Amino acid sequence: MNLSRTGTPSAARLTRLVTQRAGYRQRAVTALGTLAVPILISGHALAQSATGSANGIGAQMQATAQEGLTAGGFVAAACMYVAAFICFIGGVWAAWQSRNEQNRSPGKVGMAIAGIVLCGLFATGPQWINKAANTASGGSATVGTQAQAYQFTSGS
Amino acid sequence: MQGLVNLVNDLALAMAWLLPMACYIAAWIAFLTGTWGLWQQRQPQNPFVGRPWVPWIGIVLSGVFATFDRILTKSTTSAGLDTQVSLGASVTGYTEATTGSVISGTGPEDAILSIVSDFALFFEMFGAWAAFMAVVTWNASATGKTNRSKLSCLIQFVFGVILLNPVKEATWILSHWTTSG
Repeated sequence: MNLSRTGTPSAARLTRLVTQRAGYRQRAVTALGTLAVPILISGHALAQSATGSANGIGAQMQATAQEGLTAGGFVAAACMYVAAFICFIGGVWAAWQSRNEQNRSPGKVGMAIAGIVLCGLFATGPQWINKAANTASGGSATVGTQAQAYQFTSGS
Repeated sequence: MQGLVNLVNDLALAMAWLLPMACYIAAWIAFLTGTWGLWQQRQPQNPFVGRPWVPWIGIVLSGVFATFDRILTKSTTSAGLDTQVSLGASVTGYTEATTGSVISGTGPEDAILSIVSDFALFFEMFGAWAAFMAVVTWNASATGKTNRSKLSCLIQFVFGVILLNPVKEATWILSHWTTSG
């Protein structure tokens, strides 16, 4: 019986065993250390002088936002125009129906008043959004059809 | 690393341009649907039976969207963050880190604050978008278009507001691990 392999392992063998067992971890540490060297050498590599690009994605989005606002403004105007028209026709028709002997009902009177009032509400939509803005925030609306960007002034 | 900071801040600038556009569109949609809801209440197919306040929510929220930057400023004031949110018609960069160099600072606290400062605009824009989407979802929840609870929308709004001054919050958190002691 060969008993040579049952003795105390040498230091080199132990190191090899540990390295084989924790190989990935050791390699990861080595790789991270290698990657950290340029950062340590360059000192200020972490964006100390970073500035926004005038030709980057952010600047391009200004044009995109302007297009969206222009299109959105026209669509909003069209929708409110159509809604005002529907409410006016519906309100007048309800008023007519309310006085018709075959279809008279109290509900038609309310519908007539609502339709005509809402017609005015739709026709002057931007003003009412501005009034809603005053109600919600205590100031006039800040968004319009000109593209704008958010800015933050932070106290520290 | 500098390239990553440049890219992330450029994305933040894109988000900064798109959010007012989204607010503008959301404002008129909220107004239109709110006012149309009022008209629907006089119709036999009224979708808000027993909930007459729902259309009014839409009208008020149109004002919230139209002045969303001011709403965010008020919210940050309530949260004690002191961040002034405003709208500008020009491309602005971002403020580079002034709390000290990552390497030559007095400790890891300076390094973390520098990194947070470099990415601050992205944090702020992400927070503003999160708050905006919270309000949109809250309106959808009120009108029955989504099953999300109103409490979850409120929590999302609060977390969005919290992101509006990341440097101050990082300073608060780091104060618990002071190096002077």
